[in-house]
Amino acid sequence: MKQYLLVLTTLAATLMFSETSAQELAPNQNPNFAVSRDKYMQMADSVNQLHSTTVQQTYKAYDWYQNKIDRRNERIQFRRELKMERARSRYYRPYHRGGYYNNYYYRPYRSGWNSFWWF
Amino acid sequence: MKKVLLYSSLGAALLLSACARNVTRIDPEEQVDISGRWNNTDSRLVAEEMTQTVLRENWLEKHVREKGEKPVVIVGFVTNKSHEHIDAETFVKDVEQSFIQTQKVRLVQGGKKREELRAEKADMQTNASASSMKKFGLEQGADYILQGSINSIVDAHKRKKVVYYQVNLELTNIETNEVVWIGDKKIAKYVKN
Repeated sequence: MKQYLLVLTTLAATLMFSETSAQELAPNQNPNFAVSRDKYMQMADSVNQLHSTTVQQTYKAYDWYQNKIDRRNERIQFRRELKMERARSRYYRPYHRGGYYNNYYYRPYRSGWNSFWWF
Repeated sequence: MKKVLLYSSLGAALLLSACARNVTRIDPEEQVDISGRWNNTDSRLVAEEMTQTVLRENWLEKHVREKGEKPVVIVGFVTNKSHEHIDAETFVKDVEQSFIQTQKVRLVQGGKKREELRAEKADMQTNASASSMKKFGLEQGADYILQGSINSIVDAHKRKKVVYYQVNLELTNIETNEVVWIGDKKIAKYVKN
């Protein structure tokens, strides 16, 4: 009896739903509109957040003069980094020239342009 | 000694004044081109063109004739596909302003601002007095959506450059997807470095 009632209720609900759906159709409206509606109802919030905004899809245009400036800046930057790296390697190499416990830093004083003969 | 002091102070004052930054207010309508990039003059030119054409075209008259009421517009998004960072809000706002000032087109809020309005309405449901509380489900639906795109072409060789911008705004019927108006503004610039 219970099963019979359940089937009857489901049938009635389906019939009622289909009838209301049919009634809601506007003239010339696609009867499958609900497929698309359900799909876009899922994404409406995320898409509509972009309203009144500018979506940036910029590209890099070739500009000979700008490229020249960029190349020069890169060169300057590279030279600066190289200089810094050289300076850093000169002062922070503890095992260079025999390590801490050599007498490199206590070498005898020599003057003149050719005094660095031991390098 | 006094003379030396005087001259040195004068020299110092001159040096300081030469190094100081100088800022002056200018008329926003004035055309000042510095780098050759997109600037306020370009934005203004686009806004002028769009506001002049959007309210003159026959989509407006047709809508009023068919529906018997003013059209409702929502602003969608503008896609910047040019080579520069351009914010379309500077000229789209002018178009929106023209809708409101002329009272020919009704405008509804969209995007983040609409989210904020809904959040405020939600807050009212628990905090505002019953008489002042605003109801959900009574928002004005839009008839048309305003969308747009910005495109550019760059032709550069050595120190010479020609930059071409094309800005398009489109008004589309939301129900039928029919495009009822397309406005465009083309700007070409010759830049010599």
